[in-house]
Amino acid sequence: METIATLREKFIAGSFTPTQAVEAAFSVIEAQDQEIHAFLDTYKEEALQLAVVATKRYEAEGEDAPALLGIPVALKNNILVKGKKATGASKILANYTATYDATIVTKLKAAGAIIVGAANMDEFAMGGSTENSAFGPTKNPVDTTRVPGGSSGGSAAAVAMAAVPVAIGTDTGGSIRQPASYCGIVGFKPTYGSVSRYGLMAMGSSLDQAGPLTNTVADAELVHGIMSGTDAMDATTISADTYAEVPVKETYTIGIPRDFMKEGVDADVMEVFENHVKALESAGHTIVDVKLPLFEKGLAAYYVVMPAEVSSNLARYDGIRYGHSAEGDTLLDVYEKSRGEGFGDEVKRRILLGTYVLSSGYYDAYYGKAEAARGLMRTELAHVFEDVDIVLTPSAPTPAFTFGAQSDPVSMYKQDIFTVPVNLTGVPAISIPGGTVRRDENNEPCGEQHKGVDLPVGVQYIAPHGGESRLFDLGKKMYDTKN
Amino acid sequence: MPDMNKDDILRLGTLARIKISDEEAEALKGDITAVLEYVSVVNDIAASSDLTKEVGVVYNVFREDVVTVAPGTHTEDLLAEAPARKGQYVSVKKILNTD
Repeated sequence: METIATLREKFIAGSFTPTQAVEAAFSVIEAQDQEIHAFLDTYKEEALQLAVVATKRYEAEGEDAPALLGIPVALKNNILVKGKKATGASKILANYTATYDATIVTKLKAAGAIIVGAANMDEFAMGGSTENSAFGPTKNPVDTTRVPGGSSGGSAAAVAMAAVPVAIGTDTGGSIRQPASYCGIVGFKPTYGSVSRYGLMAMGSSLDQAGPLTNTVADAELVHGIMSGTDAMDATTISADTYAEVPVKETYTIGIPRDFMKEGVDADVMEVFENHVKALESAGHTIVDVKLPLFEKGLAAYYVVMPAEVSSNLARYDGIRYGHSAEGDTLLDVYEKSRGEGFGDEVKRRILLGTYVLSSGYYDAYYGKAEAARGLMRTELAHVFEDVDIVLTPSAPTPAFTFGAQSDPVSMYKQDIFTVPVNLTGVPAISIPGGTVRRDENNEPCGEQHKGVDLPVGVQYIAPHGGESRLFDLGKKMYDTKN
Repeated sequence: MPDMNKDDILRLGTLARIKISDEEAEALKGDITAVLEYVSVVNDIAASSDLTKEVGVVYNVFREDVVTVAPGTHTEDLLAEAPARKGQYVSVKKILNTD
């Protein structure tokens, strides 16, 4: 698959043009997206017009052209692009048109990226499979009987089916890294505050970050570099000196929280993980065991904090100022009916949970305790990072599952066991493809002689706050150079 | 551990301003009870330590409370999204039922 880096080289050399790249993107979309459904909307005419301009600019400017000029990109549909539908894959915003550009969109446009379409997702980014999209699920391009993961499933599928070399997703509890793992691509979640959230539909405001899904770590680094930075429109953005420098090294000490993986991880996924550990060792890195007992309970804290923030953030969808509005006799009636009709099951479930944990009498027992647990997790992780440079886990405990396979909420939530603690503590993490596992039609592991499908499995590198360059460095050494 | 019944769910729906049908409430009560049971381990984590609030490295950013764009700049764009409007206002149903 074409990377941003190779496209850029060809654009500069003139052997391939932005117009050809955008045409290629749409020929993939037109051939495959009826089946895959990675996109909720596409902007062909406008993209082709921008490509003509970009093509001319390369002729005139060559390598001085902006870094992403002419590169086709897909954006998860919870990211606002002025004049375009921003649905959050929810019925309540089915006809909502964004009135301004998100900061990351302004930055991507300034860098010359061409937005080709809006990517499908779980409704308001709540889910791990895109099965919660109000507009129908996305299929995994690796095996269309399986989910692409989520909530940035459309973004991951758009890259995996080679429609675009980069798609932007958002990650509140694993929503970039888990679909990257399921689709066999790279997914990066930055340090909290590194990327502006202005113009992103808020889900869990203390957890949300936007990041790239790409074919290589180098591409992720490039795009993250463009999207990150302090923003006056988001008071939680950090500056370059907020955290102590996290140096890049020749070789790293890598900590593995083995207790954390004792249960619930598929045996063949563990095998891919262990092979990656061996590869790290033979590349000269030092592997040590670390203990992160609180991380094992992170998921519980997450399912208190996140719904609490969801219930507050989604109060804005009221049927009055924008979005779906139901007929009602009184104002209250309009609120209740608009929200009852507009929200899907998972969104309702989380709003009600959040309402419960924040309600008088339960606040201290749930939200207060979860926030305290979160503080303790941060301390625990900081101690571990005194001794190791990187913490390594699988990105998800299983490969992509088949549609409907995770039907009860708690088992779906457990897919996020390794990714959620990263959001709770605010550190950066990257999922890179670690290998594949072979499964037959009953999802049982099988040998090469059997009819089956090779499903990608990701490994997750976690660095201290502000440690993105360390993640990119090790990621490039372990993945880019070998592929 | 709370065992949610249908009325509890309907009450939460009222608090959250979401109309929940009886059928939905039946399905939700099991789901919410299961999740609350799952998350109850947060008590084990937090119970083992003192709960003093810590101040992180990230803190609030302020700016002068002044208007930064000319009045009316975004009015039309924003009102175009409103389900019902009256001139420059968003139109809503009556708030008090006086019948």
